[in-house]
Amino acid sequence: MAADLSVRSSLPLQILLYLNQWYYIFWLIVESLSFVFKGQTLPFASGVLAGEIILFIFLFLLDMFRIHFATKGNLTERIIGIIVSIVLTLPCIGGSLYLLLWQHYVLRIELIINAIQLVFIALEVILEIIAIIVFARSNA
Amino acid sequence: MGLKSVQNGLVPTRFMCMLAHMVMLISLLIRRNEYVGSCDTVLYQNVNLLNNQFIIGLSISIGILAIELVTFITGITLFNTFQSLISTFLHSSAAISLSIMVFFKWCSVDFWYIFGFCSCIPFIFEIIFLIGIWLFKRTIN
Repeated sequence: MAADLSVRSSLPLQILLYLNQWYYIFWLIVESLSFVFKGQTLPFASGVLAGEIILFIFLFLLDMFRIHFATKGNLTERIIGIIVSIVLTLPCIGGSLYLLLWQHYVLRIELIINAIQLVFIALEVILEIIAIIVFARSNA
Repeated sequence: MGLKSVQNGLVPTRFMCMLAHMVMLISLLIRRNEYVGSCDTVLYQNVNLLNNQFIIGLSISIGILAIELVTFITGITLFNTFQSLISTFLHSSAAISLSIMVFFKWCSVDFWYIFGFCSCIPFIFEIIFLIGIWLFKRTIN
């Protein structure tokens, strides 16, 4: 038992998740302001703007859940939390790509902040896979 | 207790300021023609040269900022209070002055002041702390 006291949680993953939470608050503010701007100045077909706003709010909640599961899984050294977070990553990537490419109007600022968010997600997925490998080895 | 909470607040503040600076730099790089075009045509006759200089300045700035972000995220200067304060102050002023540059369509030559004061100074301090930690084995704090 004495040899089993070492910490296997990944510190870089934890730092990245902590900073990503703060980044999402920044992202939420910028994205909602850009929706206000688009709603005030650009013509929309009925329902398009409402659909995009609902999508972006759900994307924010989904991202928060993803980060929460990854944090808990990393800190308690459980594989299942990290797997749930990787599964939740797929719709998050889809939503970010929608806001980045296939939206009705894509502003320049949205292009940049969503690209930064995708970089974050990619780094986190890599570190999460490494964390899964480390936890699985130590359990075996 | 109070000092601890201040230190905990410094980390996200510094990160947000660096990211705001990064976002402004990338958005300038995408639409750099507007700022090259708004220069005085009598003083700066070679527009091509100006464009190249602006690209070089922006790329060096982004590279420096990326190095600083990496040393920040890997935790080398994460809890260094002095570096956090300097970095927060200079990067936030860089983001504000770059947004003024966007609003008032400054000439691209004026970017070099922002580059010198708000990109180079925090990078030099970062390098000094890196050397201190790696070569002279100072503690991280």
